[in-house]
Amino acid sequence: MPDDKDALLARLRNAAELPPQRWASEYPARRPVAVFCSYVPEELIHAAGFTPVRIRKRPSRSGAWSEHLQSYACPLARSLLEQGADGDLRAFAGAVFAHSCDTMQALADIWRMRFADQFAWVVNVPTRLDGPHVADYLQRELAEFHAALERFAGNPIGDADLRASIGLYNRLRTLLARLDGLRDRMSNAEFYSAILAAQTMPKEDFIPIAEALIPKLEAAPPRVSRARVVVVGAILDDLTLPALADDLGLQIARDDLCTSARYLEGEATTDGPPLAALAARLLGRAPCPAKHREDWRRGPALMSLARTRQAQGMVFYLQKFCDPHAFDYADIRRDLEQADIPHIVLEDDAGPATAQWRTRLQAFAEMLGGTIP
Amino acid sequence: MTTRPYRRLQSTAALNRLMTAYYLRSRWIGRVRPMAWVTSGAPIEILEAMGIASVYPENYGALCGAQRVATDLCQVAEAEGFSQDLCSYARTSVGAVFAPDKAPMAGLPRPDLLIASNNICGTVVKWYQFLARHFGIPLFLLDVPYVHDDAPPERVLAYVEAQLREMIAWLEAHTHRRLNPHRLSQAVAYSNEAVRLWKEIRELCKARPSPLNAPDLFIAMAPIVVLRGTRWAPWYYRRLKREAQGRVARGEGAVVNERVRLLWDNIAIWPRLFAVFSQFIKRGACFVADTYTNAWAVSVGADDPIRGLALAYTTVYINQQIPNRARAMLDMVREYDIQGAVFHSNRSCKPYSFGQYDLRRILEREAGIPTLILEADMCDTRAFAEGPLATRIQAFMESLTQ
Ligand code: SF4
Ligand code: SF4
Repeated sequence: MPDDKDALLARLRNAAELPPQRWASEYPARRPVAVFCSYVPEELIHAAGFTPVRIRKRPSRSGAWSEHLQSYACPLARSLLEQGADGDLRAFAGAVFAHSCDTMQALADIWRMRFADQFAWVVNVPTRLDGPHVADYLQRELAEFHAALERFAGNPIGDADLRASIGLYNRLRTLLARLDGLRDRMSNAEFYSAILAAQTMPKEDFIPIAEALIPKLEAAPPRVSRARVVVVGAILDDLTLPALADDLGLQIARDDLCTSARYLEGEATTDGPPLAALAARLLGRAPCPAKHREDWRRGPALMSLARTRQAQGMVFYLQKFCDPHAFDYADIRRDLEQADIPHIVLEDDAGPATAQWRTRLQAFAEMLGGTIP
Repeated sequence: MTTRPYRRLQSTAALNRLMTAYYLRSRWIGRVRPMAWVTSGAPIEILEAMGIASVYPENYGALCGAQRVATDLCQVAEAEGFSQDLCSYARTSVGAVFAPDKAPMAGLPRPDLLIASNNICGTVVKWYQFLARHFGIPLFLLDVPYVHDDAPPERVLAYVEAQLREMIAWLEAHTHRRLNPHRLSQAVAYSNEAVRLWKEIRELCKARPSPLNAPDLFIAMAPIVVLRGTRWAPWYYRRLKREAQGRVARGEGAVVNERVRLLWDNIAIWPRLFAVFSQFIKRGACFVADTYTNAWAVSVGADDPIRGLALAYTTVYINQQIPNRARAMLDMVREYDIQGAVFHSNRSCKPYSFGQYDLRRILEREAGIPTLILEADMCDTRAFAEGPLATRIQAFMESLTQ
């Protein structure tokens, strides 16, 4: 097996771009379960003997979503429903939602009606992430999911299984954090291939690749970029945006995205009761915009991210009709203006608007200054 | 024939007096009592029992919509970076906060506290986060998990109940007022009385012809939202009920020549309330039931008021999964002898509107009634055009009455 850096990166890229309908033939020994949110406690699904696979959006093909959803539903919800209706997830054992926004909440209901013969579960993650009662509630909610998975899998999930899965995910997240520290040793597209691959590949396959890759990246010289940016938004579906940034000489120094930072952040402890550890991780990580925590201010948090990563600007990558992120944008915009940090907004509706994004990103890059290395 | 196709309600005069007094009182009451801005699904009985004054930005949004100033206020919010795709109540409220000079009554009185509950939507979480930062005041979020089951599970009720107790302590700490259990029982009693009357009023609409039409209820619902827990809500609903009973006794319908009985789903199209409904009225169609005003027909178990409040506020209509909503609609179709359903697909309110395509199929399949979807918005007049709405209504009514 060739394991030079490029070959490893190519394997990750293939995995990142593997469409769900080809997943089962790529990993025939595994039983995939579709995951629709970063708040889904994948460790439980893994411990039940399944392979959690994060499903992202793809450009629309059949338009089958319009049987169930209005055109003012976000493109992610539309696409997930379409992929289900088109049979792309036929080989998946089931689907797991987590409570986040109003749109996902409705999608979960619609999904369970449309695919009534399949396993589908909603982990009703609280909206409030603080207060004296939330941990207890979330643990009970996780216990319910645990029991549902046991019934579905037909075998018990013991604490030892669960601890092993938590250990595996911690290992994964440690590696992802190390990759995050090596962003300047690879292109944006390479980095995001790894991040997306980590969410679609079996972790057992991803981990050795990442372990082999990291020392090679560490040995590579740092790249120079014309400017550094932080990308902020909901889901990153594919490599369009990172590749555009590469073309324009921009380095994505950090992000705040569902399928990146919000996925890789935080570890669960392996001592103590596993469900409590999983609940603590979900409550402790940086909240998604659909959540509430009294002491949490996303604007200042993002600005300090930009400072520590020496980023000069922010790119908001927003999904059309996405309420939580649109509200946050209005709030963060004010903070950025006060701090004199430039930003742009790229909106995603029907899929990558490559030409339009390129023009806007290019103008932004020029405004940030610097020359293409 | 010179008879008008629609009967006006006498009790509306009492309603107008009541609501004018309510808004006038809200101008000065904040000087002597803490003032809270609350969402429509907040447990207001607790605030009542503590002597905390409250106003409802959502009701204010509806008022701005009906007065046709909401679109201008939405534009103010948009200039501040709030996307045009966000709920128009939220944008109206944000606009009124930034530009009180453009807002009716110069906006709502400045709040000291914010109480939001996500039992209606996630929008209010973000909207109230904005308000908390803008005014620099504390926000309590009563987190009510959505019911993805037939009924709320025990763990959810326990969580909500625990937060209600937490909220009382929070309010006591922030206002230095104590919760008086007697006043709470009293507020719950008023609330239940209002809810009971409201249910009875809605049930009178089972009569043929129906004494009331949905737009009457949309207007009449203001007190059950904003004055729930006070004696004023029952005061008005007794009048409305008497009037409706009189109509039933005399065989008078709200729609003079009631020929078709319909069901309405979702919030009203406030800026065109009568323009839209008159399209139905002139064709003899009366909305004898609707899901929107039904949302306030949940009473509170009085034995253990906190537990009762937890159950009542968890089971509000749009906090329940779509199959439960379908059941409620099918029951209405049967009980009210309904021949067709109209869904307002409201761009503003995603949690209420998503699922309507499935609901319409369920109604068509299981109740055998035709349905119509109207794409519009509850406040923002830029989001729809009246012409196409009228055409669709006409076609639907023709198919129904053939
Ligand atoms: S958070 Fe935004 S992008 Fe994600 S499902 Fe909800 S509306 Fe869609
Ligand atoms: S989104 Fe819907 S429920 Fe929420 S405030 Fe707007 S109209 Fe009301």
